[in-house]
Amino acid sequence: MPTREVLTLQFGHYSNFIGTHWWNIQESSFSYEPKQPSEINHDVLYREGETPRKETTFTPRLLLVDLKGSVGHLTEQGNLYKAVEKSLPLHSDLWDSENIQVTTEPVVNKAPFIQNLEKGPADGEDAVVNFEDDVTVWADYLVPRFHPRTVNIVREYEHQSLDQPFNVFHYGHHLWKTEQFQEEFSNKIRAYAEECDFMQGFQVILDSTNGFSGLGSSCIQHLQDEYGKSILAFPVIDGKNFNKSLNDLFKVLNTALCYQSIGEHCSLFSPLCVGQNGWPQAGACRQFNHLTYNSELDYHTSSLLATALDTISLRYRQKEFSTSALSDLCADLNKLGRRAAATSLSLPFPMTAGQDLIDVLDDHEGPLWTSLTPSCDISMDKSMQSLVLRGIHHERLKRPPHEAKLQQRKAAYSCSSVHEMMTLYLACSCHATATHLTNLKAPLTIKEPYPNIFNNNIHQNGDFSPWPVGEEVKSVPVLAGLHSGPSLSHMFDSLHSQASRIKSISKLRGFKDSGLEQDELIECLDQLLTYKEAYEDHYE
Amino acid sequence: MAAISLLNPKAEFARAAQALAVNISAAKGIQDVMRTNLGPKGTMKMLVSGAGDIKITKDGNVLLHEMQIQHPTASLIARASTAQDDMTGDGTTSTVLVIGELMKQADLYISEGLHPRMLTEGFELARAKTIEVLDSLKIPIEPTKEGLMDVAKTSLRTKIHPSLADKLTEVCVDAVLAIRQDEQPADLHMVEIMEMQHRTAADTTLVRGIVMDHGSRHPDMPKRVENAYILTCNVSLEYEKSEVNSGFFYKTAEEREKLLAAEREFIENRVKKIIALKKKLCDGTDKSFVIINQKGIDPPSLDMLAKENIVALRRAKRRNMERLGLACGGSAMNSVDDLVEENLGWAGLVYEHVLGETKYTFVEDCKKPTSVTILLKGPNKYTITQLKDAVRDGLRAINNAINDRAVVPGAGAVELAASRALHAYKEQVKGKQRLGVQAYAEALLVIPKTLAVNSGFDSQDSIVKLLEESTALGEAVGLDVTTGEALKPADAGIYDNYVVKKQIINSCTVIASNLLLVDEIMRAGMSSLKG
Ligand SMILES: Nc1ncnc2c1ncn2[C@@H]1O[C@H](COP(=O)(O)OP(=O)(O)OP(=O)(O)O)[C@@H](O)[C@H]1O
Ligand SMILES: [Mg+2]
Repeated sequence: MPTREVLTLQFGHYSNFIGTHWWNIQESSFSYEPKQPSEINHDVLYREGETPRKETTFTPRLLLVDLKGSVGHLTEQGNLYKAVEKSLPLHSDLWDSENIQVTTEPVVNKAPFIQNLEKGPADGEDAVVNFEDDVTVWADYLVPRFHPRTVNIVREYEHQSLDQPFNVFHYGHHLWKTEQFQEEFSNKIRAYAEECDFMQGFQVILDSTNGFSGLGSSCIQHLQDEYGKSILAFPVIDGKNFNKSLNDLFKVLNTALCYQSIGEHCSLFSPLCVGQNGWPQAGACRQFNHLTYNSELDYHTSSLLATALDTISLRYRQKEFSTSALSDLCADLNKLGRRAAATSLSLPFPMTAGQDLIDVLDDHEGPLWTSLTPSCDISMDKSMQSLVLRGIHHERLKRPPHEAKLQQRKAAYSCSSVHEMMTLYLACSCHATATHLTNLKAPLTIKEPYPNIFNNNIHQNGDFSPWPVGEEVKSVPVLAGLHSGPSLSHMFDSLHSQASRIKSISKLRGFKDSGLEQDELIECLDQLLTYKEAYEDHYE
Repeated sequence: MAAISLLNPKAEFARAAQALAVNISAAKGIQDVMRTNLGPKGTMKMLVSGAGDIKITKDGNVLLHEMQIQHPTASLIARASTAQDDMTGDGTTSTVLVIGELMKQADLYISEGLHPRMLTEGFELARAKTIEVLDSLKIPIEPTKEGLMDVAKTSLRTKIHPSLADKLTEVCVDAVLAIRQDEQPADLHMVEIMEMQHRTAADTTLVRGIVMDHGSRHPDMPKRVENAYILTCNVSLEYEKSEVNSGFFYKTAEEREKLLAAEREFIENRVKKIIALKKKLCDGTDKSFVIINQKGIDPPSLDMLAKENIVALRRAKRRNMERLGLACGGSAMNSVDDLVEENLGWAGLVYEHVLGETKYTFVEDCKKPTSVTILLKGPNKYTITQLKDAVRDGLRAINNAINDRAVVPGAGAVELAASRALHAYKEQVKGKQRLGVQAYAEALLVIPKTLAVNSGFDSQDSIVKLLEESTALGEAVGLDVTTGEALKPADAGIYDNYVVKKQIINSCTVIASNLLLVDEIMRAGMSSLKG
């Protein structure tokens, strides 16, 4: 089966935090063992290339955008394709060297993890790594090396600038019209597309609360106009809670404008945030039974979102049945004007140590997953859903007949595969719901720099015990999904009511000055209601 | 009120007088940063980021983008200057310098108690007079190679080494002349600038045709063909699956795959139509066939085409569709139904060149190429960027000169002549506005003065020499940057664009006036907030 490629785009700092974990997770699942080939077709998201020195490269098929000063030690071009220069050539071939004035910014120090990554085995002791303290930007825990195309730095705005913050949808929208994006960036998209033999489409992660909402939305519109392929978008909100301020309204409005726009131009989108509310503040963080994480650390929260993305996307990245997986996924969920879906995660999928799947499912109480979509609790009923389960081995399905005992009395005992049993379970527990289930044998590999967020009752294979075991977790089974169901109407409703608090845009100076009209605000609010109505059930 | 919204919100609370002082100091500050850039002896600035990214530029516009301009007034000036560049492609540095100087001069008078309103009224009188002087200095030119070489060279030599500038001058002039069609203003987009990271900048060339940064995607396709029909189209030749049918409808994945295979036939028929035309036109002749498609072409389609020796490129740039039409003739097709020979373009030679990961396709020997490509070469990204900026400036200088049908003497000659004329004119101006005219006359001299300083000469000495020489000769003179003496710009072939100078004069006056009238603007703004 030929590879069906997907191009990934990441817009904004938090999006890049998520992306970084995601690419790290993917590298940790590479299999270098020919006898045990991976079930994942890594060519879907990676490209093979060659450096000028004829070395083969395998780099993410990725374009990312961030602001000046946000990429730490990374250079825009990266160092994969050029010889490492010991000292910089501080001259120009084009001008008299006496007449050159050099301004050098202080050298950016590399985080300890990066230092360890780059040094050879002979270079002495590893530096002490403490991610929670070391990580300030996503580049501080980035494992893969990038193609020179990948990193795009916005010159007009500086990271975390207080004087000229990049905090308005329209700033991003205007930025899209500059040469850097109209020419360079669009041309990079084109160059990636040109390399693809059977491109399926695009996956876009974009910050929804700042100017990247506008930049990403404009790009999505461009992708739709220019390529007409499936676009799956994830507008994201970081999980930090700040003091109440006017800025909350900015974020709400950016998010509203973002959903309005991408709802029109992408195939499907799923908002992500570890906070329960998302707006006007992230709110209390979502709870997972066996995890402890710090919702104020982007490094932590983004790893959960990345885990969900890595798992959900397996549907269109697996080697089997790949022909039009992304368009099918979108088509399954975006019917009837339903452009948004909720994302769920079960991490780890709760396999009790020593038990089989049949018993685990039978004994399970409460929802099987946690929602990662703000202001949206996912119901099991009346939904269209696409789920991916990874890491339950066939041997954990049930006992053979002579050991089965009570298991044999359960209806599910007749199921002969994980896929079959899980499908049966979902059919029984989700009312009026259509489920597409993808099932992979291999679990999620847990490896540095994935944060250590597992409670101490988790075994190294991801099973859980009622008591502490103190093992280093090496892999975990995961269930994640996209759900299109009635609960999305609550999400739109809640965003609508928050955005409706903005009575007049004249208070929000940045918006007014950059061209938002009062009419557009009203239109945006109306559109949110239209999206909401698409989820309402008129048959009851 | 548009002007106030450009200011920092905090500024609303600054008292008006303070706001004025702030504006003046900001204007001076940004002038200090840019001063050393001006002219052919200006300083190149190299910025090395903390991670080692290098940016190098002498272009005021680029610098303004690179510097983080935090001060609202400074960023207002910066934005105005970049707007200047967007319109004419040149004159950013001069704009910043003249605004700064107008503010400095104004400061002297205001501190003596003059009302800013008097100054700005004087500025307006002076502006009108300066435009008159500028018009009188216009030198008509013909849009020919001879007529355009000097103005192009002047522009390029302010951005790159003279030896390289002289080589690129010809490349740029030839490019613009090639794309010009019967007296119409040239569309510079029809000069494609293609980058190639390779060897030295001196290898930069003009290709009379189109160069694309991609090639055929099939190993069996010819790498070089002659006498080629060129089909440019925007037709998908790849299997695409719409989102109409959801995956739920299929019982098994295998069943799904089968249905998809059926959908491919549709694409195959398109390819067959192209092949039919190719067979009709080329088989049995020495002609060949090239497809350049804006949409995708998948491997099965490529296979079919390769068997027929057809060269096929996919995902061409949208703009190249138009360029190809201009270079080769033919038109971009949105359908392959009813294709006929007249739809096709023609090129004498199409070949591929591979450099690292990138393939380049050259489409050359076109009959009358009205779209061309400048192939920029340089050893690294920042050199190429620098070269590209210079070439862009050069192209726009040529185009401006064609549109103006004129040039004006450079090397500070316009500013010097205008300054002299203003000193004479101010005698006729009554009232305190006269002081504004005087300030303006002084401020314009910042250009020749800075050119002198940047060339290592004393600004006072040079100005005196130029003024004397100009009085003696009774005509406009400029500064010789190698001797510090006066020269006749026409003799030395130093010309600037008329439209650029005009823009500089107009926008500097408006911006400086706005900055000076900040208190009035603010009061108006405040009352409108209250009312
Ligand atoms: N050979 C020369 N001798 C003297 N003066 C020159 C010469 N060439 C150009 N100049 C002068 O240099 C000035 C232009 O300098 P420069 O191009 O560096 O700045 P700019 O056009 O104001 O801004 P930008 O950075 O946008 O190009 C003009 O006043 C021009 O007349
Ligand atoms: Mg210039």
